[in-house]
Amino acid sequence: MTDPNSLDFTVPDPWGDLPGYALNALTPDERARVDALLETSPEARDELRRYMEAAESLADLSPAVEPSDRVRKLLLAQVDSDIHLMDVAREDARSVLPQKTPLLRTLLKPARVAYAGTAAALISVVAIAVIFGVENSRLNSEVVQLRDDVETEIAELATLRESVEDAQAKFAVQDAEVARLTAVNAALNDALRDQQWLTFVTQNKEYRVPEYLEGSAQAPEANGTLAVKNFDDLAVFLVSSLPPAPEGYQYMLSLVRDGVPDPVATFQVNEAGMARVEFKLPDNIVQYERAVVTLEQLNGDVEVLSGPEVMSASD
Amino acid sequence: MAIDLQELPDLDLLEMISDGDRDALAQLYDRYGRRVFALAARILNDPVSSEEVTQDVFLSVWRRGSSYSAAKGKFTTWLFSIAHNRTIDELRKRRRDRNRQNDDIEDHLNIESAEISPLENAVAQSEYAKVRDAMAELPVEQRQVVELSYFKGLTQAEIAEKTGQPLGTVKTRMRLALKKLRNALSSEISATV
Repeated sequence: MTDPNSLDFTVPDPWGDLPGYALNALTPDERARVDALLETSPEARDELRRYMEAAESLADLSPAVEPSDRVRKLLLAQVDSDIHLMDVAREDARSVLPQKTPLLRTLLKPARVAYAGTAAALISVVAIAVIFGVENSRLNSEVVQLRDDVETEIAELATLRESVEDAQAKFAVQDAEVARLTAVNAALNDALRDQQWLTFVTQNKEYRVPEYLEGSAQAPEANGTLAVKNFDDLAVFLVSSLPPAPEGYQYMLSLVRDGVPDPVATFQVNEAGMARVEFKLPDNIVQYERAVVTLEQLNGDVEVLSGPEVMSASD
Repeated sequence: MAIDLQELPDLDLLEMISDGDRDALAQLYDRYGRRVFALAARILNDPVSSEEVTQDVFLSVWRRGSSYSAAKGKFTTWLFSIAHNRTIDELRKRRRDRNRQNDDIEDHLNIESAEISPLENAVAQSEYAKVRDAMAELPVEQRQVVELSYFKGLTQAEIAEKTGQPLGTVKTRMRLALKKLRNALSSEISATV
């Protein structure tokens, strides 16, 4: 008879490892060899079953202790989670997949003994993968659509901004034009009023017109009328078509006696080139040879004429 | 008519579990949860880890109940095989992590007992006594290999190295110990099939 202790146990011996298998005392390699044996040998499976039943009894050598209630609660909570996940996965798979594949039909059956755990996992994987795929695709499409929408809105905003700027520019031009026309209208009103006044003066016997002034080369269109009130020292000078004085300059009306000009008034013309200047005569009008309008600096010496002559009375 | 789950045998409960019946799992837990926890606690000497192992074991039953085949043996054998595997895996993982071994077997019994009904306690004590007596009948060297493997998580090669015995001797002692235990407890084992 062979002594078991004399056997060479370095040679793989899955049969001899069955007790160690039952006691969980094998290395992974040893365990794999026993698993291979169990696949092909009913006798080995039967032998192992007897060892494992004996090993199971060792569990009763444990202390009389109980787990806390928490374990049961956590376990059932996890189970509820599994059930919920399985239901959701089944619903998602139904809703996402257009047709039921044979695999899916199997998985979608009411949970059976053989498939419950695996089905939950597979359905979850399939459904989640499909859901994520569809969801990802949908989100990508939405992102692209949103990007297009944003770009379109940006372009529309740019166009709108250009339109607004154009409109603002047009409004500015129109405002300027309105202002100019308003000024012209005011000037025309003034001119109309002055013309009416001039008509009144020329037809009124209280006034007489000793001088009519005409423009020189600098203001060929200009003309003016000097009217004086009879038996009084009040005089009025009406001028039209005289270009506005350059910035820093003003016009000066002077009466000339013995070749010496005597400044009597300074003035500016309006947008229409018109002005009405009232002043007191320094002496009787008959004492003067003529009237003259010159262009003078604003801060110049009003007693000395230095600027060019733009209007003068005809002889 | 409502089914009284307490009256159903394990295999009926297992079939209901496979059909997604959580109450059946709860019933199975109520039936075996304490024993599974006690086994883990005996080996790990750590109530928290033992509770985690217990939860994992019954979650495995919930998810992989279909892998059980009556042809392979009793349901409880399968259940405690899962429990022992899971517990030993945890023990070896901790051993690798901490590079230390657990204390002596006697120390593992120091976990404070929870409230257990007198009937359960009596049954447990009775089963404990029977197995303890059967273990006591084993030769010391056979009892030692069983304890070092089943409760300490050592492989047969590690036991050979620790005890200085040839690997063949260790294997033989394991085989003999299990056969004697089975013979000594045959009435208990067959009664629960």
